[in-house]
Formats: sequence, structure tokens, C-alpha cells
Amino acid sequence: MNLGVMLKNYFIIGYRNILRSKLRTLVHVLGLSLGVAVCLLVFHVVWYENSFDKFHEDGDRIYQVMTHTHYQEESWLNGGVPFPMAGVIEDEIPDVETKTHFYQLEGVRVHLEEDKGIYKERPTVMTDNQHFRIFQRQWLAGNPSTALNEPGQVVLTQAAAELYFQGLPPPEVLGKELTYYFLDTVQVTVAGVVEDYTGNTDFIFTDFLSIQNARKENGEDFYAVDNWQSVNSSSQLFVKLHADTNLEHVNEKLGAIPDKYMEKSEKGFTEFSLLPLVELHFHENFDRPAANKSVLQGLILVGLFILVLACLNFINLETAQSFVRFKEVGIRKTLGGSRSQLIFQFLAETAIIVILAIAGGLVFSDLLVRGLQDLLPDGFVINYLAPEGVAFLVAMGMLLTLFAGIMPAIMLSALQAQKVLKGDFKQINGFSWTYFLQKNLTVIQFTLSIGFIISVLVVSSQIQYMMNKELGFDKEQVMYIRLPFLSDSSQRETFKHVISQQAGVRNTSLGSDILASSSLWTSSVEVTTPTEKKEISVQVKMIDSRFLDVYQVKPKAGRNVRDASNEILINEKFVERLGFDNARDAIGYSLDFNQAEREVVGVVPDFHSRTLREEIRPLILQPAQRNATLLSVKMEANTDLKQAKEDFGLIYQAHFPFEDGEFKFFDETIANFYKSDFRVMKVLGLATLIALVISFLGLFALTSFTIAQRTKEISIRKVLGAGTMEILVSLSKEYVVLMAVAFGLAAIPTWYLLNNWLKEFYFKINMPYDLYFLAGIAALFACLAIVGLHSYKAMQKNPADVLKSE
Amino acid sequence: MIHLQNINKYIDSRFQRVFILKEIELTIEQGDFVTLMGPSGVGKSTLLNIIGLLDEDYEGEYTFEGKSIKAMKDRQRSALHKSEFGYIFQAYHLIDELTVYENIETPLLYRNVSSAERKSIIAELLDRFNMVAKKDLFPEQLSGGQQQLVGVARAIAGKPKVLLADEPTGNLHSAQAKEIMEVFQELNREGTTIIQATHSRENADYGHRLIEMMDGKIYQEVSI
Repeated sequence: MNLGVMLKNYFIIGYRNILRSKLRTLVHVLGLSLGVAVCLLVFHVVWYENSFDKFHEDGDRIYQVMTHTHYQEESWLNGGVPFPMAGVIEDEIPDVETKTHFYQLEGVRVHLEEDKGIYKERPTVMTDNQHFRIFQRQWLAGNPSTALNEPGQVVLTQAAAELYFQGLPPPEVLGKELTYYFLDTVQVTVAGVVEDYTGNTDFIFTDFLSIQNARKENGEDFYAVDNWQSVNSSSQLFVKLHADTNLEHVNEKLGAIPDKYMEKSEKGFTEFSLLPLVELHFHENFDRPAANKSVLQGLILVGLFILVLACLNFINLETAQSFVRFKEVGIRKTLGGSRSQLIFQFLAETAIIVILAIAGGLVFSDLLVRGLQDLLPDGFVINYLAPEGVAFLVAMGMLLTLFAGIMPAIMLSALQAQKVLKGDFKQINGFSWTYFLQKNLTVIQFTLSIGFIISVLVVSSQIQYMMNKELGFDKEQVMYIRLPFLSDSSQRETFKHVISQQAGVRNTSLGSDILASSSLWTSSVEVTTPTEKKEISVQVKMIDSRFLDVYQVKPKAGRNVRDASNEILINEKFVERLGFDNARDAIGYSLDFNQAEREVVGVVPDFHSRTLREEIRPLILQPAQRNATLLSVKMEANTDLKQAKEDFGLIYQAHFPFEDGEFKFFDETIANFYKSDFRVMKVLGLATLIALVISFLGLFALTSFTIAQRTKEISIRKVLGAGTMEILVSLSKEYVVLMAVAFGLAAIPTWYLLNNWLKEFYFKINMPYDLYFLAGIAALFACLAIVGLHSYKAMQKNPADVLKSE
Repeated sequence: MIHLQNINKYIDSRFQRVFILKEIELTIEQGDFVTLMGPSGVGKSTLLNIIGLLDEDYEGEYTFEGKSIKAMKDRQRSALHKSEFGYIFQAYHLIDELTVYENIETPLLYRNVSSAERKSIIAELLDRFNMVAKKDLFPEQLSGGQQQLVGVARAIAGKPKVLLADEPTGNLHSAQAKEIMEVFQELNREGTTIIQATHSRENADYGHRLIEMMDGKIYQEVSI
């Protein structure tokens, strides 16, 4: 076979064609490489998010026990379990081969002996040594079967050992002493050193203390060791089931556990369930936000759309200008080329362009990674040489070549030699595929582009709306800091006092929370309305008398609360639920809340204490010092907030030397509520930009060919006396129809998707139909501008010259 | 060698059947040099296409070396087309993106000729037509006569038994035309069967048989 030479021959022709028609090549390579870049990036993101904890032995048999708590109308899914659950699960469910219970500690400080060093915020858990039987690691030193049996033991990963005892080989680290400070102070000796994981993992812990520490005298209460009612997300239980276990049976037995051990309540119930290890990364866990599957699906969809767009562009343009190749096809057939050889040749030419596009795609995707750093998952980098990445590129290259190249190749190779050589191109099969394809592909392209434009406009106007909505309070010039949970209230009061003395501070307040945050404390209160007696679920914040001043909230009726009193404030929503028509009527109402009789002394307006995704709930603001660990600081206008933040940070360090705390800006916190929406907008915006570049480049090239083909027609019309306007109209007419069809096709599915997206928000804009039309009209004008430009160029030709050459 | 029996080709329009070829009876022996003559549209090209297996849309019996073309399978037919026929066109029809050398090489590639053999065949042809110096030029860099010489070289590179030439000199001036016809004469002497379609009586003089066509029919045959 001369396959090699044949290929060389094809590549030579392909190469010379590429040089010959630069516009075509540019459009093809640019369009496809944008598509390739987006797909490559999406692939790597999806791969990365799915790569977590894939290396554990028998990973398919490992599950996390989750707790689903239902209380009144609300329910929570929690990765933690009641502490005593760990003690009974093996007895209750014989299918469990091994289980491990661990308790994640926060704010752990590690001191070396003789105060050689202090290490803060160490990722530490208390666990048992079965942990290492489920999540296996190589032991570099120590005995796996006795380690962690005693409270005074610690197992370190190699990285932690290296941090504390630089340069010491693992066996020598054994027996070294360390002191761990958290709620407790624990002196331990190193009982083992294990290897760090090399693969991506959510199990980032490096210091393993014994869970026996929780059973020490004063720990039992805090860790709720015997309390079935307390579910803390730090208390985690993983099980490894026997092979061939029937999951349904396990779930049945899990279902029986609450009835047996937990108190029954009319208001709620608890369920346990198993989460497969592969799903762990997609659930909030270990203080890490969950990877979001629907975001990944959205990304895949966007990537596919862009790639399809780029391919359609290619097909469209190739078929539109395929007449350039007609003669060659005729000659090759006459010289003995078979149809399959011709198809192969055209595919090889497509392959060259695809290879160029992949090279360009690599460059673009690197630019994208740099530009989108804040949208990508933490720790994400593209390793272009990773086998899966290379495999993906090769597979995508082949698929692209086939998908983009096969249609033009089949059409070209179907030509009959004697006809094309005679110059008889018309009516090849009675029905012109070229024409049919051109129109349809153009419509699809514009459908996608218009869809993208509409989405971006609607999403950004919802975000605009949320940013500008009157929230019912003043978010400017407010800073806040969370003080240590275990500090006592006099310490906090002192700190507050010191801060309030600083220059530029207008007001300070200690409360359980800032005015609007993502955390939610709810409770239920029994109220009596004129018609009935009922329990209502309310949101609670602990405040002091300065709270309203700091956030510039004015009571609608009544007055502010006094510190250390049994007075409370409620919001208008609460008033409504109480059955009062007027806020003033609620003043003086008393209700039983938080173990005391409390009197409503004021009504505050319905400010947004949560994101705008959620409705406003009935709210109680109660003055209290307990739990008041959050200091809010209102600054004078025109103070340098950045400087103040730094200065206050130093004061904080002086008061709480062993803690890491940081002042934050309230307005930034509120903007962060909508971080994921900004992300959606940014991704959509970028996708739209790319889609538009591809479509309009495509249209530009396409019209430059199709209108050049009609030069003769234009000249004849001119000779017959047609005016410029008439010719322009006659050339643009069909594009107006195409755009109208594309608009219709785009608007309906986009409306459906956007409507679903808007449903996530309780406070939202009305569907802005005017933006739909804006998008459609903008696309139409852009299209007409391109068509007009080429038409104008064609019209400038002298008819005498054009018609003479015929 | 080539035997055509009652060949008809027509187009059915709504009211009538228009014949392009009608009742063609023609036998061509190996080594013949046949000229088809007649005005434009008389069916010369169509007849050449049928003989060269480029057009299968006709009625009647066509046998090549005793084998019926219609009875052949597609693959046999395309193998026959590849091995036995060479084509020369009025408009040269060289591939613009390929050099002289590559143009001549193309039919050899489709015939699976080995690399060494290809090189020697092409070298021989370039030498024969005095084009060694031009082998790396592209068609547009050559004159019409030179382009047609490349066309001839390409057509005979695969050593076909039959050379089909459709108005080979139509775009050339007389000196160039003469050169091409002399090459034809020489090839014919070496044993290649040549069938050419032309308007030019002078060109016909290089051949042995002159077939005049009129309205899709063979009008008369003259031996030269």
C-alpha cells in the first residue's frame, strides 16, 4: 500500500489549501480552537472533581453514615451522627465489616516539647485505629494494631512529622512528645507515622488523636458521648460493608435504629442513610463546600454547545465553498481515485485543521485557566500531559475530525466526474444538500448565540436587582469579627470596650450574629392569635441595645430593647403571623420564649436577614450576653476601613493571642451571598462571548463566499436598473427570516431554563421579555451589518467587468 | 478490443425523449488511432465518457476485450477503469495545488505503484517531455502547451492500453497542438490505442480512422 505517500500527498494538498485561503483557515482554526479550549477546560474540571478518594482499597464498599433530621416543616441533612451511634452500628447491622468513628477538632494548636514551636490550625481528628483499616495508609513507623488505643497517643502523617521534627526519620519520631490544645489539653506521644495520600482526597487530616479523649471526665458532656439527640457534623461515622451486601437490608436495619435508641417526638423524626464514598466530594463535608454536580452538568452543556457551534461553523463554511474543490474531485475520480479514497483525503485535510485547532485550544485553555482562577475549584491545575488529558485530546481530535469533516467529505466525493469537469454543478441530486445545510446550520448557530445572549442578560439583571435591592439596613462602613467561642463574656466586653475607644468607631455591638448572614438559628414559639393557638417557627438573633444603631435599623413601632431585660423585638412578618393588622398592636404582647416570659417592646421592619433566595421569616431579636460572640463595629463615614481592619487585628491578637480571627467587611459578606450567581454570570458571559465570536466569524466568512457567488446576479440587477437599497433588501431578506426562526427556537428553551433558575430566588425580577427582544434585535443588526458589508463590496464592482468575464 | 453495440443515451423531458447518442455501433481494435469529429454537442464527449467508464447511464451492450461491462461488478469496473484508460482534457485539468511532479504521480498512487517504480516512471516521462527543470512548478506557472504535456504525461504514466483525449488541442495554438499530436502519434506507434474527439481536421490526419458524428449518430467512417 502507498498509504504513507498517499497521506503525505493529502497533507501536502491540505497544507497548500490552508495557505491559499487564509480567511477560511483563520475562521476554522480560531472557531474550533475556542471550542476545543472550552471543552478541554470543562473536561479537566469534571475529571478533577471526580478524582477525589478514588484510590481507597474496596472504596465501593465504604459508606458514610448521614443523619437526616426532620423537625416541623424543616429538615437538615448532616454528615455527622449522634456520638453513641458509633457504638451500636456493628451490633445492629451485621453487614458492617469495619467501622470507624472520628471527631473533627477545630482550632487545634500543637506545641512541641520545651516550647520549641507552636503550630496553629492543625487539621486534627480524634479517631480509632480502625480508621486506618478503612482508609488504608502505609505505616512508616509504629504498630497499626495498638496505636490510638490509649488517649495519650497520636499518629502523624509524614508531612506533619516532617513539620514538627524536621529531618528526623519516622522510626525516630516514635515516642516523641507533643501537646495538643483545643477545648482540652492533651499530652501525647507519637505512636505511629503514616504516609500521606498522593491522590486527590477530602481526608486532609494529618494529626490523629485517640477518640478515647472524648470519653474523659469533662469531655463526655461536651462531645455528647451518650446523647442520641445531639447531631454534630464533626462526629463522623464511616463503615465498610461486607462484599455482596444487600443495601436494601442495610437501609432497613438503619431505619430501625432511631426507634430503638432515640426519643420519640411529635414534631420531628430522624433517619439515617448511607452515602457511598464516591459521592462524598459532592456533599458538604469537613468544612469544605460541596462540589456541585449540577454546576458540572451545566459546564458540560456549555462546553458541548460551544463545540457543536464550532463544528457547525466548520461544516457550514466547508460546504458553502466546496465548489472550489469540484474540479479536483472530478480529476481525481478520472485518474482512478475511489470514493472512499476521496473521503479519506478530505478527512485528512480536516484533521490538519483540527490538529492546528487543538494546538490553539491548548493556548486558549491556558489563558482561560489564568483568567478564571476564582471560578475554578481550589487546588485545580491542568496537567496537560496527564494520560487522561492526552487521551481526551486524541479522542476529541478524532471525533471532531469525523463530526466536522464527514459531511463535506461525503458531499464532495459524491460528485460525478464527467459532470463537474464539464462545469455542470447544478442539481446534483435534484435536492441541494448544500443549500439545505447552510440554512439550517446558520439557524442553529444563531439559536445558540441568541440563547446565550438572553441568558446572560437575564441572569445579570437578576443579580443587578439583588445588588440594588433595598435590604432594610445600612451595610456600609460595618466591620465584624467572631470572637472565640469559649471566651467568657467579660473578656468580650473588655475587647468591645477597647475597640469602641478607637478613632473612627461610631458604635459597637455584641450579638450572636451579624444582621444578615448565611447562618440560621431557628426556634419555635407558641403564640396565641385572636383565632387560634399555634407553634410558629422563628428566626432568632441575640443582640444588645446597640445592635439596631450599628445597622441603622429604625423600629417601626415601639422602642429599642434594653440590655439584660426580658424585652424582645420582633419583625413585621411576626406581627402578621400573630394576626395583628398594625405593628403598634403587637407592642406589649408577651410570649414564652427561651425559658422566660418575654415582652415585645418594638417592631422592626422586615429587613433581609438572609439571602434574597429566601423569604423573610418571623424574627425575634433578644438581648442576651450568652452566645454573644460576634462583635459588629460601625465606623464613621470616610474612615480608612483597610487601615482600621489592620489596627483592630493587632488589638485582637493582643487580647486573644492563641486565636486566629479576622475582621471582615459586612458589605463584602453580603456580596458573597451571591458569589455562585456571579460565577454563573461570569461563565455564561464568557460562553456568550465565545459563542458570538465563533458565530459571527462564521457568518462573516460564509457571507463573503455566498455573496461573492452572487456577484453576477447583483451586476445583472444593477444593469437592469435596480437601486442600492433594492439590492441590499433582496440580499438581506433571507437573513431576516433565518434570524426570526433562530430567535423563536432560542427564546422558548431559554425561557424555560431561566424560569427554573429564577425559581431559586424568593425575591426576583419579573421575566424581562424586553431583554429577549433586545437580544434578538442586537443579533439581527449584527447579522445585517455583516451581510450589508459584503453586499456593498459586491455592489461596488463594475458590472461591465463582472459580466464580461462570463 | 472495444465493441459497442446499439448504444443509446437519452434524456426524457416531459413531452419527448431527446437522444444524445443513438444506435451507436463501433468496434475499435488494439493499436487503432481513432478520431471522433463533429460539431459541438453532437455527443463526442459523451461517447468518450462511456468508453472510458466514466458514464454508466446508457442503454446497449459494451464489451471490453470480450467482457461485458454491464455484467461487471463495481469493483471490477473501477479496476478496469484504473488499469486500462488514460484521460486528456481540453482544459488540461491539472490539480492546481500539486506540482508537476505530484500531478504525474497521482494516478500512480491510486494504482499502488511502488515508490522506486514511481520515481523511475516519472523521471522517464519528465525526460521524454523535456520537463525535468519544471517538475517543482505549479500548473499556473506553465504555459498551456506545457500544461497539456503534463496532462499527457499524467495520462500515460499508468501505462494504459487506451488513451482518451477530449479536444486535447482545443485551448492550444497550432505549434503547441502539433507537438501534442506528434506525441500521440509516437505513443500510438508504441502500441497505445488512442481515441480522440476534435473539431480539427488537421488533428484527424494523425490517426488511422476518422469517425464523423451528427446528431448523436455515427454519420460516416473514413479510413486515412
